[in-house]
Amino acid sequence: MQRRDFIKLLMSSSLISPSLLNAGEAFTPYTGELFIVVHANGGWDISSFCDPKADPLINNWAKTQSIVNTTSQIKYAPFAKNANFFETHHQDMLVLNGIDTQTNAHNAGVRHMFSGRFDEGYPAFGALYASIKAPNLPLSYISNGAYNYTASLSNFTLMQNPTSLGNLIDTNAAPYGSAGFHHSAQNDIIKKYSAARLARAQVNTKLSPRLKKAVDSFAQASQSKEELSLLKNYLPSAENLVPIVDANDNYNPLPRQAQLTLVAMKAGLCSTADLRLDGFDTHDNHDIEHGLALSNLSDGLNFLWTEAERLGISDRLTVFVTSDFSRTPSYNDGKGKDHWPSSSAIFIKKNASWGGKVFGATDDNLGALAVDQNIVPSAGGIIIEPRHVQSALRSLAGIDQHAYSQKFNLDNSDLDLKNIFL
Amino acid sequence: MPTTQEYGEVAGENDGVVWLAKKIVADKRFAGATVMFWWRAIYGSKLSNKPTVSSDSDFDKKLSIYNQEQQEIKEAAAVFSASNQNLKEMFKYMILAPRFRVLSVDDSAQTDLLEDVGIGRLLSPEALNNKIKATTGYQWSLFWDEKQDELLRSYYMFYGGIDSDGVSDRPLELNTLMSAVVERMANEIACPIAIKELDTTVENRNLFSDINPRLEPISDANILKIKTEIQNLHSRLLKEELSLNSVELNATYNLFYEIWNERKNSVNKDNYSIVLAHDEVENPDGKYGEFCFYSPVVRFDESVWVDGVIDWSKINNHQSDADSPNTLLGVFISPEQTMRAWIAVLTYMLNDYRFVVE
Repeated sequence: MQRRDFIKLLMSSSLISPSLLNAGEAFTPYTGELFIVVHANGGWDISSFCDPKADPLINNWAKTQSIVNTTSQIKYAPFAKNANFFETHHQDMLVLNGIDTQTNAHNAGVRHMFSGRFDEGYPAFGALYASIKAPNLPLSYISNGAYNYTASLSNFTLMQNPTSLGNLIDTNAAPYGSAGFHHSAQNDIIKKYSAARLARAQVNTKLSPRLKKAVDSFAQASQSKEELSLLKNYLPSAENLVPIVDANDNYNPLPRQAQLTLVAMKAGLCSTADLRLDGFDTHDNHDIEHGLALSNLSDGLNFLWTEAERLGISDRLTVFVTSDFSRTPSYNDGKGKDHWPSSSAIFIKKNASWGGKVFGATDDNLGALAVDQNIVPSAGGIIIEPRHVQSALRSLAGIDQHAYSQKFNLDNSDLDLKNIFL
Repeated sequence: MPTTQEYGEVAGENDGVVWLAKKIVADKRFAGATVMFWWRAIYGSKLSNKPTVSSDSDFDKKLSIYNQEQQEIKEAAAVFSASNQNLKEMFKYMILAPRFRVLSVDDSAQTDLLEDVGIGRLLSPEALNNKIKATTGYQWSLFWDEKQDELLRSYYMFYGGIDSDGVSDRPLELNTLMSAVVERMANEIACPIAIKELDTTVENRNLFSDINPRLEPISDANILKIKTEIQNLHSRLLKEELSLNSVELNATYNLFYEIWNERKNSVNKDNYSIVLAHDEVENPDGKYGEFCFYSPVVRFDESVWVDGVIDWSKINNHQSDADSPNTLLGVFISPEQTMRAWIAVLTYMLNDYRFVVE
């Protein structure tokens, strides 16, 4: 039974609530702009990535190799699989260096970089974007475990094995054979009664706020279940699932996360997602461990764009990549690198007018440099902070003026980065 | 702080941990810290941090919530201290408090301060899995892999599970996929629960009371018995104590009646059966059969199928013959069409907002 038919049934029962009436409108798959936030979890080493430092005390690779210049403004370190990543995407990417995260603590760094505020209480970009642009999609905001605080603006959905996902697309389908768990008509009767009970609960003013919230979220979730069937057309079969280990048997979940997210986006069920890759917190054996993490990041991002292209949604997609903070401009006794507050962020969009550019900078010792209003280093300028970066991301997404963004206002009156996208 | 050495206090006991524990529990802050430690486990919500940004639009609300929580911590800590640090007394106090028990509010309540108070906490996959077992006596698993709980394996992350590494925060509200997991659970387990419960003696039942599963709603006496059983199920599964004339109880009864009536008057009624899953064999009667995850002790020989239709003359209701080598599928026949009505009632209740919250 389609949702429209289901709502008609409800209406005939005279037990429908106003919110369910709205749900009777035909579902329109989401076709707007898509945003994916990629979290390099643990603190990435920007000096071996997008803010390269050719100092042998900072990086061992600098003893024998030099910084690589692309044909655009983008430069990168000759490390890990950077060449593959940067040479493929440099014309579509904007690098923002010299961001002062103001912390060496993971939780604070993650919260600050991904919400724009050091204090608790501000939503992740994905929660904000989904709540504004596509609040009624069943999978509007998919999370893979990055910063996903929603501030009650929207829900996030965790993804898992696509085989089990198939069972959730049609919850009445038996594992084999042609019979369902219920005859279709009788399944509809049960659903009709369930929806009517929810509708009664929704108008019960005596329920405690917490129980009322549970009722509302249950009702909202139930309404959009039928749309999950759209996933059927795109869900990869078991043999077409991208592996979660690379050719050398190294664990890399990023391509799988990207694959399932893009499938949901292609189906018009998802507007935004966060992807998360671990392995960057390399206090020991930095060059080997961090080289692997950055290689996984490059492989994951390359796969993401290839798959988005294959699915025909790459022109609608923007990817934002960053980390908790970065790593020290020197090695410790264990050949590792510890936490360092200066960081970077990368924006990627196909054929973007702002592609191939670098803004912001750090000094020779990875200290964030102040910039002027043109985002050029200037002694009397302003240090770039996460609030400026998240403000720019909101502006790029076209949600900075929305009431929800105003409610969780990020003060960028001293430095507006939105001009970097002109 | 006294001087210590590697294995304890210089002049004290030869155990640094014991020494430390004594110092901690003697500290006046220990009682409050104990309440704070157990707070989330008991109330299902995080304690608020003191708000620091006074320009936030919801600063006053956050401060009120914080102050209220701090007051309740003080009160519970006082009970803990006064009982000579008896944890049970503290638990008793916290569980009897309105924060734990509130189900409804009156019009004068400041509802914006009560968002995380009372019944309505979404159960984690682990808690919901335990609740299924505790209330129904049935485990949601695949019958060929009964040691694995489906909710903790196939649907764990979909239902908001954590891996304590990449994913460490649970969703606090139900999303679409989580809702689909609940519906899948209800669809899969309602049938085996009903058959296991109703196809056995009353004393062996876990969930149902003494209802006769063949009882049809065709007389006042029968209807009363059916409604009384529904009343029991509302109490057991949804913690709702309903009167026999309540709106909710009558709605559930109407569902029972509509399913029963639909089947009883169907032109297909003579071919209606519940197909009990066994081995990887296709259901030969997908048109009328309904799939049931039930490891069958109820079996019959495949020869009863004639041209894709059950030849009822060859079936003497259901038979228990676990050792028969020729059995392929089990079939449960409910000529009164009441079994599926009870399955529908269970599906309705298991796929309910009250079942997934506490």
